Formats: sequence, C-alpha cells, structure tokens
Amino acid sequence: MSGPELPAGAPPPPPAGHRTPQVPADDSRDARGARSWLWRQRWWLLALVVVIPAVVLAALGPRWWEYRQNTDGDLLFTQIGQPVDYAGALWRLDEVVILDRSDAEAGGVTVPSGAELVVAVVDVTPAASGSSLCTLEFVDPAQDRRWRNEWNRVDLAGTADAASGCEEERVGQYRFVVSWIVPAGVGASGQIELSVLDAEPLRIRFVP
Amino acid sequence: MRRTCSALGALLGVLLIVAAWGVHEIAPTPEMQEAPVAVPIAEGDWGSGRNIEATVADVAIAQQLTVGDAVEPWRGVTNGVWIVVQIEVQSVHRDGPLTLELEYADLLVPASDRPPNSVHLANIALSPGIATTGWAAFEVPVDMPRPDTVAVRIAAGADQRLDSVLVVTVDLTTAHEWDVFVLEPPTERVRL
Repeated sequence: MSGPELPAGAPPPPPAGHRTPQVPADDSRDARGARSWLWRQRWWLLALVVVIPAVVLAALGPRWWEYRQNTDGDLLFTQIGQPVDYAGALWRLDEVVILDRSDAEAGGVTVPSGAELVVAVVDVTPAASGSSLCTLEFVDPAQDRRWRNEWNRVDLAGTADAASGCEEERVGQYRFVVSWIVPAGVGASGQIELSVLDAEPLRIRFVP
Repeated sequence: MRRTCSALGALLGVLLIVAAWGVHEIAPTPEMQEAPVAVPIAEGDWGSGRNIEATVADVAIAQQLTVGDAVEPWRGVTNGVWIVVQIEVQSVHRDGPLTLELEYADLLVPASDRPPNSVHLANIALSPGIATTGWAAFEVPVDMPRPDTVAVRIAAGADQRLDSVLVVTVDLTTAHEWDVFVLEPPTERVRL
C-alpha cells in the first residue's frame, strides 16, 4: 500500500516511529539551527562595549579634570558697590572711574594713543588673621580679553591714603586703588575680576 | 572548513600586528604632540595667532648698536654682527611676556637683552589690543656664511607648547647695513 504522492522535490517523510528533533524558535540560530557568529561572540562583544569606553575614560579623564581645574573657574557675579564675602574677607568695589588719555596723563600716567585708563577703588575688611594677596584683572567678556593692573598710581578724590593694590597680612579695614590701561571704549562695558589664591578656583566678578 | 578558518584567523592576527606596528611608527612623538603651531606670515603683513598679533616692518644689519639721546648712553659692540628687526606686536586675549627668536642658518638665536630695556622689545609685557612698536636686536656670528633669508619667530609667553608662533621670513639681501645703528624706545598705540 502506497501513501499519498508527494510533490516533486519535497523531502521524503520520516520513517514510521522516527521523531524529528524539534528546534525551538530562536533568532540566534540560522536555518540549520547553528548559532550565529554574533551570538557565539556575544561575551567578547559585550566586553568590548564596556572596555573601550573604560579605556578612553581612564586615558583622558585625568587630563580633562586637570584642564577643567586650570581653565574653568567658578565665578560669583556681584554689582559694583555691593559687599561680598570672599576668601575670609569682605570686599567692596566702591568706585570705577574711566579717564581719557589727557586726564590720565594729568594724573601722571602715560596712556598710549587710542587707549584709556580705568581706575578702581576697593574697600577691604580682612579676616582677623590678616589680609591675603589678591589679583584684580579688567575683563572684556565680549572679546575674551583681560588685563592685569598697572603699577602706576593715579589718585582720585579721597584716595590719597589708599594703598596701591591689595596688601598681605594687613589687619583692619583698608582701601586700595588699582588701574588698567585698555583700548578706548572698553572701560565702560568691562568687568573687574578679583581672585585670591587660597580661594581659587572661585573668583568674584564685579559688574556695572 | 575548520582548517580554512584557522588560516584566516592567523592571517588576520598577522595583519593586526602589522597594523599595530604601522600605527606605532606613525604616532606623533611627545615633542610633536606639544609642538608650537607655526603661523607663517610675509614681511610687512599683519599676522594673527591664538594670543599674538604682529608685523615685521623693517630689518637692518649693523656692526654696532647705540641708543638715542632720550636714554642713558650705551654702545653695543659685538664680535659678530647685529641683525635688528622692527616689530609691531600685541597680544589678543591675555597679557604676558614677549618671546622673540631668530632662525639664522641652522641657529636659533634669542633676542639680545644686552641693550637697555627702554630701547628694545625683548623684555616688554604684551597687552591685548595695545600694540608696541620697537626694535629687537639679535647677535649672530660673523664667521659663518650669511644666509639670504632668516625667520623671526614671535610668540606670547615663554611656554610656547601648543601655542601659536608667528614666523616671518625676512630678506637679508635687501637689508640696509649700518656701521652704527641707533635704537629708539618702543612706542605704544591702539591699532584702528
């Protein structure tokens, strides 16, 4: 007795009593039931996914941190005239005056053609242990420019007794005068940045 | 089949080793990684780098240097010869010291600090937006053939790693030669 006829090319039916192994449906297997290359190498690939970022982080992380420390300080903005507590002392940028070339030279400071002199008066109440040395820079944020202060002194009204720059280990409130030579027109829009080494990277930015 | 895979794996391994050797060979050295960035500019042109802007306006060759009446008398006598270069220079973002060097044949000659500070550029402080014009003097040997061209290297700050250096090629064949050259004090202005 013959069974039903099969279409041409179809595989012959299994012999009676023979069970065809059942391969579970699995995307990781190909048509023959073998595991794919990706599946077989999955642990190596996973390790690569973890190891490559870890190596990059380990190689560049410390240098990135050093770069951050050296370049990005924390800025605390405050208005001119407002007192601010910084590095254990109380600081107040009392006054900023812009002198043109002729006025500056009348005050004894030579200013180049096309430049102006910015003069600032700062009141400081140091910590009980005494004052710290500080740096004051004039900043032009629009063009990312900054100037360190001049050593030549210009006296404004009421500053005859003022110091020339901040002083170290001074006890009790005092006042000092600093000045910067900048291109004409920059003084009105510029800002003044105060920093004390012990308090770095925090710095104070006095704005008009 | 298995043998073919093993052969391919071995070939891949060899290729990776060769590639690693190639990468090692072409990898920049630490000196190259930190080398200054040379910005070539022509004599007379205003050139800009990251924190430096300058032009070389004039060059002269002199047997002796002296100073004008405005400053204390000084005479610069040398066993070699002086190359004096007039430079206008300013910084862009930060103030700081100016560094000047001269590539003379295969020598790298720093700007001389023998002249009084008031008449040369070697020790000035750069200021953003405020240009200083003055002379730099370089003392070079007389017993070696004088090159037709030299290069003036102008940089902001003493540490030039990864920073711009303006390199100005200067023609010495057209430079005026002086027995005694008078150095005048630098002047400052804001360039418009």
